[in-house]
Amino acid sequence: MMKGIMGMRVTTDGVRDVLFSEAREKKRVEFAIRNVFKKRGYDEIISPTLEFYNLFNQGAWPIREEVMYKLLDRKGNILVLRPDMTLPIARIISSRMKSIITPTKVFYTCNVYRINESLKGKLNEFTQGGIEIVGSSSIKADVEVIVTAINILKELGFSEFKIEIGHSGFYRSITKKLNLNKEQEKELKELVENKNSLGIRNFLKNIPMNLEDKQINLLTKLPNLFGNMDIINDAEGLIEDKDGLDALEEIKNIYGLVDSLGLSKYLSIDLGMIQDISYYTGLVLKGYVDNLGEIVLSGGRYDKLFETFGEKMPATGMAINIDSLAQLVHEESKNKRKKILIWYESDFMKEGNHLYEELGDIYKVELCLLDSKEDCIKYFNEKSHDYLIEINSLDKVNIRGSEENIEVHYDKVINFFKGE
Amino acid sequence: MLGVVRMALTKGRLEKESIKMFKRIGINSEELENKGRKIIFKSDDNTLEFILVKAKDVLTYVEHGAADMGIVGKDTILEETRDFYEVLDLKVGECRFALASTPEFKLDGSYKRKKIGTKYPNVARKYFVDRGEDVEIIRIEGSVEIAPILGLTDAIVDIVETGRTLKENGLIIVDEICDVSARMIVNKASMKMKKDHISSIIKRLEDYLNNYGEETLG
Repeated sequence: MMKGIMGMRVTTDGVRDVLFSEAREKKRVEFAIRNVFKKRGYDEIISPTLEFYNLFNQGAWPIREEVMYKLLDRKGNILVLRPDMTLPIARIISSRMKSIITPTKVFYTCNVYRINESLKGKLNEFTQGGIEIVGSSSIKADVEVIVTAINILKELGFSEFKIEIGHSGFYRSITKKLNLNKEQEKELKELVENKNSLGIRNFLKNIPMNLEDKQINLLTKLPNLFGNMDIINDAEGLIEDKDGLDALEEIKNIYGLVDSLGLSKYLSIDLGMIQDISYYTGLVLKGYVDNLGEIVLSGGRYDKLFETFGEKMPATGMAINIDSLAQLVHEESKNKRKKILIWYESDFMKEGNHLYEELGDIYKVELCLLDSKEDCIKYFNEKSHDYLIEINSLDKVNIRGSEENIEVHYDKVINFFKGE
Repeated sequence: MLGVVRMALTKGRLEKESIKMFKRIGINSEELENKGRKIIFKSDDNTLEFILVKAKDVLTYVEHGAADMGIVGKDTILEETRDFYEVLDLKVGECRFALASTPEFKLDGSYKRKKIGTKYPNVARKYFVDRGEDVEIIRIEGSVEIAPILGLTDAIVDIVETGRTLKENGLIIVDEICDVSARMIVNKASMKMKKDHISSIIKRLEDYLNNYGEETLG
């Protein structure tokens, strides 16, 4: 427990202040994402940060209680800071079923809260953007989710990224014949998710049952069944079960539709991707961006969730981690933004300031506070700015770059930089 | 062209074994064998970068993607709950987790709540939870063998290689918990974004382990 005046200056585990240029970048990323959602016809939902604990703890897919921030209201009810947005949306839609015409497409951007282990570098309060399409079981809806994800990452300026798709029905069709108990199920799922082929082999050895070679073969190969469309063909040769083949067929069809939009270069396939096997009922997806070691978006089809609320309603969706993307965009823009230093003779203070204000939106501009031009050139070289603008006459303003000098009229300076 | 892949190695004995193994599959690093003051070492063909860190830190670097892959003992993986792919058993650094104590210790046959000393509280807790037994775990950082001798704990859970240290201190193995050895782990995003390069390294190591692993490394 932090006490005293020094303790007042720090924040608790897993939360952070976001300042200035980083805050600007985060809001920019958030707005870009919101615009894509709106442009594709999603309607916004804003829901309370506080929800009943029961909402997340009931049903077939409880969120583990130790990851939720809990507090009590005046009546002694247990409340939580929402650990997720899908359940609140399901609550809203199922409580207003009569007035909502489906399929309905909704979006949100908001903070969600989860208690991660301390000191592992993970955020406990983070900003998520997401969509849910409720009331359509068509693969058109699944494709819509994928295309929205691709559009967002393109909109944010990424060119190297992958949306990876899999199908929960494929794994389920392999394991349904194994008759595993809950614990074994969990163990095998973990091994497959971690692509631990050796572990899978050992696991199968220790389970007393007569498996056909084909099944063993398929399970041990599962960790390597990721990559491009060839994987589907490989998998088709390994499985006979009808549900499994149907799942592969569905991935093929989804891939084909995304391909017809010219976007299949962003797709890859991982048949060993399981996510939460009991929650997802069809397509599952995850997104990766170059230079970022985490999953930036994830989602899939969850046709059974609404049964928890007594409704029968197919649904699919995904959520994006805005904090990670914003941080990456911020890092990259920091590196990309060129730096300009402006030096002026005192008579040209007005001109210097004018350039400073005009160029500041694109470049990182600094007004040199040194009097002598020689000192300033020295400072320019030491601080590694990209350009030095020297104003001691209006006719001949010298623009010093890392390699060459150019002399232009003062009126042409802005043109030079903004036309570049 | 394949991008550079960064590999985190566990400092010490595992590092030497890793270097040996990489050499056998044609990945050499002059820089790694003759370390100066550098902290990042390049392979001779500049396609790989190595960093040397402590075992637990290998998990941290790989989980966050600061390193794409890593080599670390299964003992460390079992103790920490982290998120990454565990793709290969490198069959080096082989040893096992065991419950050990003085010869008088009895695993069953007492209602007394046992005290267990260990460097691996999570592994120890899981072992006893699986047995359905409630025990008190006491974290000890090193020379764990002393704890039961001095009566601080009733028994210990620790890594045992040959069992010689235990024997010399008059301790015996009461129960074996599980085998451990060095594993290759991969960051989940890197596996997808640098698939060709990483898959090729895994494939070469796998072939090597299947064909020659047991005779040359033993």
